[in-house]
Amino acid sequence: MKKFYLKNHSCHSELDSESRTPGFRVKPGMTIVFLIFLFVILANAGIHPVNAAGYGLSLYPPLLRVHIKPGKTITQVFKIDNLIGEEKIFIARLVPFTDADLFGNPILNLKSTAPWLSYFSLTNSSIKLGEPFTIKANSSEQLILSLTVPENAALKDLYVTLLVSTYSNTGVPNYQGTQVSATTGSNLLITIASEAYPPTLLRVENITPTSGWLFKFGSYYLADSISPVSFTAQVLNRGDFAAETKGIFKVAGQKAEPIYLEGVLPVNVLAKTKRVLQNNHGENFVFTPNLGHIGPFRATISIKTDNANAENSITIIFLPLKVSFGLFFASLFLIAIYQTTKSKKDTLDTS
Amino acid sequence: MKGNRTVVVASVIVLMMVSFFYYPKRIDSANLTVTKDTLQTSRLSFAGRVVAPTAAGSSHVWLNTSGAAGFYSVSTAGLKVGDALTIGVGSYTVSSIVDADEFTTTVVLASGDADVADVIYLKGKPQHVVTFTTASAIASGFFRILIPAATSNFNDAVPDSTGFDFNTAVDVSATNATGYTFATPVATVSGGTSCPSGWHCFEYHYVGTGGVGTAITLKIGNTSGTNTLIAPAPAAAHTQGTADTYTFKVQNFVNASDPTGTPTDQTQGKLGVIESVRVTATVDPTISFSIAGIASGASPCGTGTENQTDVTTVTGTNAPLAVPFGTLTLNTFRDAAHLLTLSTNAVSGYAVTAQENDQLGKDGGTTPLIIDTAGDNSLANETTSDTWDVAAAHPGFGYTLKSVNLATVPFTSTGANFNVRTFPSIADPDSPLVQTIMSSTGTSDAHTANVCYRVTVTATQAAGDYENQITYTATASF
Repeated sequence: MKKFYLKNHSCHSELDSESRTPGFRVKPGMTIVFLIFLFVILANAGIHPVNAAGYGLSLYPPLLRVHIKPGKTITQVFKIDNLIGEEKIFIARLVPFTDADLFGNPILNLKSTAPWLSYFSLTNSSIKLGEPFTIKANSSEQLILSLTVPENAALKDLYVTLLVSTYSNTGVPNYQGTQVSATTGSNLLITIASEAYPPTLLRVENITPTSGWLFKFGSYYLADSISPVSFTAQVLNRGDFAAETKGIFKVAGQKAEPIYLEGVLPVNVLAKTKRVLQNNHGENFVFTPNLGHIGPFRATISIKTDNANAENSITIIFLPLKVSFGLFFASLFLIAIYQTTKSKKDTLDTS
Repeated sequence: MKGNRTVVVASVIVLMMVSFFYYPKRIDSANLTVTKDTLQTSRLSFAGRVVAPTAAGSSHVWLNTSGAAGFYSVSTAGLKVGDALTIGVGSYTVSSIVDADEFTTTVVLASGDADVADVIYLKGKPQHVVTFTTASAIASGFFRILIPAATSNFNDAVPDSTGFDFNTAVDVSATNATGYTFATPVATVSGGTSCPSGWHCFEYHYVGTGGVGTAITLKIGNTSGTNTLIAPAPAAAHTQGTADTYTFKVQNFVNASDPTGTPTDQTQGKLGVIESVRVTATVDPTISFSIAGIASGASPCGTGTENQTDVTTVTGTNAPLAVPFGTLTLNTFRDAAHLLTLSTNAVSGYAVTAQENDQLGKDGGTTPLIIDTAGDNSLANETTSDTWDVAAAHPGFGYTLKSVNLATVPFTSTGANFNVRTFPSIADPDSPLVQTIMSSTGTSDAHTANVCYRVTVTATQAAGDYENQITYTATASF
């Protein structure tokens, strides 16, 4: 910025001297217009852009859940948008996966393969899986993915990610550094089953209060009755097919009447995997008791699938711990004041 | 002679015209002009009934699609998410609209609120703002507004299908104007003292000279809905999407006159109530991922000159998908960075992972390598961070992160300290497959994070061009 102002000043001086030269008179209005023009040019020249868009890709849909019977075929269109003003080359491929983290993110091994990948094909005339294709600037392209499940296919889940990656085959001589490849993926969770709703085996696990005034005694929790309590929980899918978690988190009193209800975020749990359960906002469940909530309460998570239910709960005993501690210390304080006052009075009386 | 006759006839005509205007005919009552009753919302109240299989303990409510006297809300078209309803005797909030005759509530229905024919009420309580322009200067008189009421059950605090319910008590107010200083207005329920049946009456007494053409504003009820008339529910002949119209009256009386008598000035207007329009749209799920370069001289991940980027990723071959470190100086850090941006409306959020094909290899080969750094204390790896502020004797390649907008990143640098990790390597069997570098557990609008790369070599590094490839993969969580 400092450099810019010096340049501007220097230009202004030159103009002044020229405007005084006979035969080259510049009107004051023109001078101002020229100075503004110069200012704009120099100002833009002086700015160093911090960043610039270079790769941008949008993929629809990001998740595809399919139930399909053996011997059937389905087709799904995936739309890819090139978000930048530059023609780009992409490449699409399918990468199978079997595992995911607790938050539903697939653990992808880009080198992995599976024999059932042959069930998939692109029906586009010009785009093939594993071959580069071009999308014009700020344009979109469709990938028409077809899944044909053979009659004799095993009844099980197939998990695969459709990856659309940047593609470059231009070598850079004497290059020193890192090449970056950007990939956007859409997860496909496919259940091959002969029935519409194959059996699911979900188990709600590890309902645990994690924050608040908490003390654990055996399988019971003592909690303060005016402090919010946050809960974490997980669900284990012991079945052979992915299942969706639809359900509620509830806190019920001694009469089993719910005093708090919160929806469980519907998410997919892969076969033989665990998944964190969260509320509809993607956060831990939180129950805020009040002073009237004293005694044992049950925090329960109920999951309902199309053909099975899963439920688990824990007992929390709410007590006015903070209030009791406050009263206790206030009493101690008052007793101390009383004792001190009494002691001084006794001393005065004695003297 | 003929000319004289013409003059006489013309004079007579002129005299008649002059006398007509000089002695205009007296008019007893004039219209108050520009009269409007502006409702805070023109939304209808809702009066429907529960039908099976609605059950206590469930939050799913079925609406009776057959009308009955007083209950002509036979479609969920008049409801929207978040509406506060009375079902049976309990209070509930609409959680979702399932279809034309089903909706859900945020809490389950209590016993006694889910029986067949239990009422479902939404009580619309719009404030009325009545405006008009006076026609006569009536000194210290009063205005009266008549709002249509049902002929029965017009003050039971539930919506009526033929008029506004008085809702026990109504606050009324007026704004003083030139010549009109208002006393506390009075609200009288239909059939009350001096108030005709079929109308709720609101009197606004004033002192002052009055005026002709004075704009007057009178209010009935509050914007909060407290002590406010309850708007009508659909009428028996209601057509969905067509307003039910009601007539209201505004009158101006002289001082101390009987309000049941003839007002000096009056006018009447129409007001309409209609279902709210529920706007629905389908948003396709999508995920968008972009990478942008960052210029040299920036401080995308940490403070101090040591953390400033030395090379730009904005321009150059394959930019921004390249990190062209160029010629390295021994025992000196060289920094570069990228900005990652991710948006998705997938409800479970997203994850961006990173991995490298191998360590930086000479001419892209597998040996010799610029190793992945271990940091200053030999602690850094794919999942553990270490400070990396001393270049001498700590060669290698690594990265750090900074969340710019809302993205959750697993680690960051601290001030001028470059906390480093290494990219998981496909070539290393002991390395994790990938590492999440950016994530969220909910829908995400333009979450951004900076990835900052750093490299340095010692004198023992064989000369040559070193290269590797990093892959960022963005996927929506399922």
